[in-house]
Amino acid sequence: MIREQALAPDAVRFVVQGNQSMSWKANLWLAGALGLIVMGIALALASQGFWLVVPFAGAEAILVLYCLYLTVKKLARKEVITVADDSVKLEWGETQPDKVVALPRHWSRLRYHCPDNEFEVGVLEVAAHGKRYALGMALGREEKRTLYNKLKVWLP
Amino acid sequence: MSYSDAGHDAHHGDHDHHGPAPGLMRWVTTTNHKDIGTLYLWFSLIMFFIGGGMALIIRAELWSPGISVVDPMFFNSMTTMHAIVMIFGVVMPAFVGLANWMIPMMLGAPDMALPRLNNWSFWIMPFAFTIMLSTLFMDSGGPAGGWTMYPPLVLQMGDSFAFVIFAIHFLGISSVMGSINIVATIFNMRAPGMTLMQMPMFVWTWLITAFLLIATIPVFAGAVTMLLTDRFFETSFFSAAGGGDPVMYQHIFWFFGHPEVYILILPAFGIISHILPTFSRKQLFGYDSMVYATASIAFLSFIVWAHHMFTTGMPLAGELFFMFSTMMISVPTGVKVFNWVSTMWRGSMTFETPMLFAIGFVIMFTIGGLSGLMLAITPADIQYHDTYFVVAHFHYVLVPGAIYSIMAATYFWIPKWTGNMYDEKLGKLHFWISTIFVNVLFFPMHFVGLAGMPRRIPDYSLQFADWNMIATIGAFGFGFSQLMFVYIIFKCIKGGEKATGEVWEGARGLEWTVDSPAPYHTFEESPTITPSTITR
Repeated sequence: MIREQALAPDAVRFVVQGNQSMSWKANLWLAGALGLIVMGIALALASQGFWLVVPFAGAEAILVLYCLYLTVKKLARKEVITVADDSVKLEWGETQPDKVVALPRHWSRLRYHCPDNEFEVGVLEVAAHGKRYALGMALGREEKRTLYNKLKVWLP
Repeated sequence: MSYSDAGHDAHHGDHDHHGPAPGLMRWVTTTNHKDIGTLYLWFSLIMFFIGGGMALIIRAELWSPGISVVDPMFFNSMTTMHAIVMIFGVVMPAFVGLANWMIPMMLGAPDMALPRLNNWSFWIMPFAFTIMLSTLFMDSGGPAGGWTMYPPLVLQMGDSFAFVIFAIHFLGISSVMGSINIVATIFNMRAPGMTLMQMPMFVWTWLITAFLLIATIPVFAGAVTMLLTDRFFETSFFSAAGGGDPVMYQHIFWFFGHPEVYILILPAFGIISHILPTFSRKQLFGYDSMVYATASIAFLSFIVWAHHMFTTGMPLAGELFFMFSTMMISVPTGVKVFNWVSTMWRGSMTFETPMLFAIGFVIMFTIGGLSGLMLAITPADIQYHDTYFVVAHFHYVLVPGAIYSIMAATYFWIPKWTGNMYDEKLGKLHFWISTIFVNVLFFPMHFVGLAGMPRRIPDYSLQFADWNMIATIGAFGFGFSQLMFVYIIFKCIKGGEKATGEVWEGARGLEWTVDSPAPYHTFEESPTITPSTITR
């Protein structure tokens, strides 16, 4: 998934995120539905005096929620590419960047290679001062090509 | 020029990118879904021979009337442990192993959603089974009151009871963690463009199985904990002397136990729904109805539990409800059988080993299903209850049903796992020998059961001797023919004709688009979904 934000006439930001087939909200609904079923059964049994099912059901409901949270958190990892007047800033992280790289824009070169094989997604890199950084690693073939075409406008 | 893999980090933080770690620690610390799938499958195979050995002890004792081979208490331990091992140590781990191997590849995902949790899910199991099997060597002996552990009988067991409950808790934790991982993976990690109604049937059946596990395991955990407190902490949940109700345990147990039956068979339905279309060179007939039928079976499995308890006595309205709800399960199951037959109808069929096992499954599972329908009829069940007819019924569902589907899956996917084709001639021989002996083993149980032979008894009346002798011949024949299965697997791992990526001519799905053997890491980037990669 690629989101493009125009920052100024000569600056743009691309937010690249991996495939996540279900939204956080939908995950919450899923956890809620599972919790409702599990706790519903447990409370029905508790009402008959078999209350020891409740702690197991509760622990499981919490575990479901936590595991879905971890999954979504991991899949929410983003790659932010900011092309400004004289710099290219690369950031990786979830809600906050945990790795940031700044490159001089006019020394940055874009490289893209994609073999003619449907199942190859290709390689997209930005290189400057002897260092290469892979871009769009979470993207599929078509999306990576799209990102290349979008970046090509801004970088040589 | 140095290279930053920050982008790699952004996508996969959980495992090594350059292949497996060397040495034994690879298997202990691995978070790779293929490694963990392999561990589950080996574990299941080892347990299959342990549980099978127990079955042979049972059948050796039943070769002739009288107490001839083992002590009756040990016989009871064997019937109990055989069931526990086969259910929790063979069928469930095998399906989880297949899920680990295939679900990420079928979805186009790089791994399971929670790889470390996946590692824990597996390694808890050998630990739990070591505890469980160790009770056989304790002074008080292993559990001997049946896998259902009905009180008050089970409460008379010695101190090893606590170890059994402890082991069951760990098995439950393992199952729950595995199920949550599967649910998280299926919902969040499908390849772009793959909608829920485009998922392969194996994925669908496992998703529904995972829901069943999540819904029922806490109930089971609570039930066995209440047994534990009744035994050691003087509570009276199931003790009539203290105001409790032992029959309530049966209700609670079967509220878990009946969905558990479907946990043991739904993934098999998924496997068969892949194999039949492949070797019929047709698409699966009625994909949508297959999905809805699976969901219907899962729903109905929650409202039929008391058909296991007709003889405990319940109001007529209750008996009628559970009888009719049980019979209703035959409708979605019939839809499935109809769809499988329709898939094969006028297909360009070939009969490689996976196809033979799949056809064997359809025929013999249907036999088990039909005897299940007989058992659903309350007045008839009161006659059949606790006889060998019930043993014949559930073994037809679980052996030529679940176990055959696992063998079919192994033959179907082993070229993808190893990169080598298995020995087709030996595979077919394995199928025919197994099929002959499995029927020699279980079909006579219908006769002795209808004639009134009770289950879980080491001795029996003389009139049952002939059929029991035949069943024992079948048991030993079936048991030893499985050594051929192990030989075929080892031979395939060691070498053989090289498999192509597609492996089978009619194969469809993302898993067939990668090389054989499947690379250590697959789909690190999302694949493109095309009509040819969708199984429906």
